[in-house]
Amino acid sequence: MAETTKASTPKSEGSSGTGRLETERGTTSIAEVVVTKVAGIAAREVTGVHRLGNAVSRALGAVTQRLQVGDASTQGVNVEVTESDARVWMSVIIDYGESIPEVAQAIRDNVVRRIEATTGLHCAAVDIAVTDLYFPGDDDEPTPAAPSA
Amino acid sequence: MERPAHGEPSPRLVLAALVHDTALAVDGVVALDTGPGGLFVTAGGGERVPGVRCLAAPEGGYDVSLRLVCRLVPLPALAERVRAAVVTAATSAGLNAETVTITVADVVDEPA
Repeated sequence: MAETTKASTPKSEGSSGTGRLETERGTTSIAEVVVTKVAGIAAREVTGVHRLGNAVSRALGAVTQRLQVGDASTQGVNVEVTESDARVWMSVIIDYGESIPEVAQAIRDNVVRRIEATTGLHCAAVDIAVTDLYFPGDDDEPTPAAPSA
Repeated sequence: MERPAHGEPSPRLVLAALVHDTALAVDGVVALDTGPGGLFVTAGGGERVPGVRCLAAPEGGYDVSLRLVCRLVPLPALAERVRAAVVTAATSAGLNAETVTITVADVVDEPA
């Protein structure tokens, strides 16, 4: 018996992430800033991450935030989004004493997890640059620095 | 659908306002975004509907586009809910949303 089950799968694609999700009645697209924010927030969730960015991006970020055109959650994060893939670059400052490889791996895992869950995009790579270490006494600005323990 | 008499709002504006309110009512949508330069609006007759564009489609209905600001939830599924809600609302108002193009323009990290 020939299998003649009429395949009525109108939307077979799309379940496994495309940045541009085509449906019968229009497309869904996700802006790069969205992926950037998700990545930034995900990285900040990891214990041992003091903050994102480096000295330059922090200085720039302070200016853009004061002008209300920037956002703390996109600082130090760059993202490239293609049709179905996202690639992330980020610079981070890590608390002194933490294992950098472990923290980096935890960042990578969490960023991939959050991006894939939230945006449906496949996260192809997360490149991490550790730009500095933080230890108490470094405080160059009165910010609510450490993530609340 | 007939063209309304002079003085009545265009169905395009009626649809845009309806789409705007419907999208905002979907859980997970925080706001609509007017895009670069604030030009992503439907305007006419002295009104402005932010974040929605309705353009007459060749088939007779309208092609609807939206720019959303959402909470951090699974976005493709949220977009699908918005699309379904918009199509249903338009149909029940006697208007036709031929296609619904959704752009997630931004997200906010706030609790539900």
